Amino acid sequence: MRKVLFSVGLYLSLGLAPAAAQPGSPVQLEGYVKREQVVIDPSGERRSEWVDPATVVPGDRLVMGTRYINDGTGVIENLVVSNPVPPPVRVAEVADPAQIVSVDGGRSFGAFADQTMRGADGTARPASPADITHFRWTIPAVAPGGSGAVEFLVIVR
Amino acid sequence: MTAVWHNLKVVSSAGFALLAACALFSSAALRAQATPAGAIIESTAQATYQDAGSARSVSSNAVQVRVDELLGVAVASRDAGPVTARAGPAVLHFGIQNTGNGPEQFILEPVTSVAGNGFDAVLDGVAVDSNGNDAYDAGIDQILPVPATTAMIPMDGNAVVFVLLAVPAGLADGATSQVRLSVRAATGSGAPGTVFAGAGEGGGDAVVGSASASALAGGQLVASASSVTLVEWASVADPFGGTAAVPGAIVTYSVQALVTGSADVDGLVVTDAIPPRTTYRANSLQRDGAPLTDAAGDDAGEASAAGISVELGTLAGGASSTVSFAVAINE
Repeated sequence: MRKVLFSVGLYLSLGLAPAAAQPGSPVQLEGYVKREQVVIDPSGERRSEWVDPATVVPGDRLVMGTRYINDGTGVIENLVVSNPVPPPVRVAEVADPAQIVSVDGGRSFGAFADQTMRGADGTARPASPADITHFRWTIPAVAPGGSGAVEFLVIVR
Repeated sequence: MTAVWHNLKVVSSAGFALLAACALFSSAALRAQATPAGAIIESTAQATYQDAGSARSVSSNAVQVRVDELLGVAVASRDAGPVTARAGPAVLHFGIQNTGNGPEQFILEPVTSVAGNGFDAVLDGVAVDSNGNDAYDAGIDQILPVPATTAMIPMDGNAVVFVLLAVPAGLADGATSQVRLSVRAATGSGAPGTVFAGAGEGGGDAVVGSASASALAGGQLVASASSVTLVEWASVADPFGGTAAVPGAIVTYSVQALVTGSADVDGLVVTDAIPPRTTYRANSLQRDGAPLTDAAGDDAGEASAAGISVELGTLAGGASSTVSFAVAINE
């Protein structure tokens, strides 16, 4: 049973066409979710495959991504993509300490490595991936016809 | 230009043996704050950009993923240790926890015949702790029809159940018997990752968790049996300072009740007739050296010309008690 309910079309998972265009915008964003499935190949090697999330249960690892496409005729500059972390999941890991995140619900953003959290007793500690509430990426320029994707890895709470 | 700006690092953990990604959770972490089955994970990205010098913005489609029901259960004995049992009814006590993320019923299957048992108890039924007092109350706690199935237990919820047993008679003191309680999710169980399409809470699927949505716990009965031995002896004091059983001599009878075994003996009563050609000596009745009156009803003992009777009540295994009384040999 299919569990991804795209509000705007199913093109993405088929990889055939961009999501239904947002009228007037040369930039289109397409969200997607994949679930990690660990498989053991005949040689005994373990590897992860990213599959359509037919079923999702607590503890599953998901990749949440956004694909961007410049459908216009001019260069897009300073594309800033923001994605809140949905409450039912927590961020599993952050590969790049310089990744721009928010740990305060999107009020402020900065490099992950610089974020701190204040405990109930007032003491500060470095933020952990699970503290992240938003991701932000800045793409300096996207040429006409150019595309790319931003992703983050979460675990279903 | 195509680029992937990602934050993704796939790690492969060496000890990880299960194929299904759903098996990755730690059950303890899951219990703490699992997402309920049926919840929707929804994600929408936003972007701002410069297009020919003007600032613009755009949103992505909203991606929605429904969280399916994970099936999981834990069961443990709630008895402090082996339960002492005598011939007749016995009760073992188990706690069940729904470790999944949706409300679920569980099927309970007690197993009384276990290899190594000194004896097998007979299954009488399975009851739930209807009044929530953590103790079995006959006639109050509901006995479940076979196959014993719990009511709906909420996510993270617990239930206490009782396995009702009959212990056979004639057991050796100290003989033991294991009783196992097998518990499984009513929706389904089996290999981790097995999917029951559409059977989950909230309209999604139900997925067997890492522990196969079933669990097993054991309780133990220890047979307790005892026997009572009575030993009687007499001492004679004649009127001349000797020990001859002559008319006028005083004979003191002692009856010792000794309990052998591990069980208490309840309602133990020692009775003895006054021997022919003797006369009971008033106020000579004693238990363990303490005087008892001859009258009935004021204490544990009574005595008359016909005989004596002393209620010893409950004696623990290994304990003893001695009743004594005196008679005179008739002239």
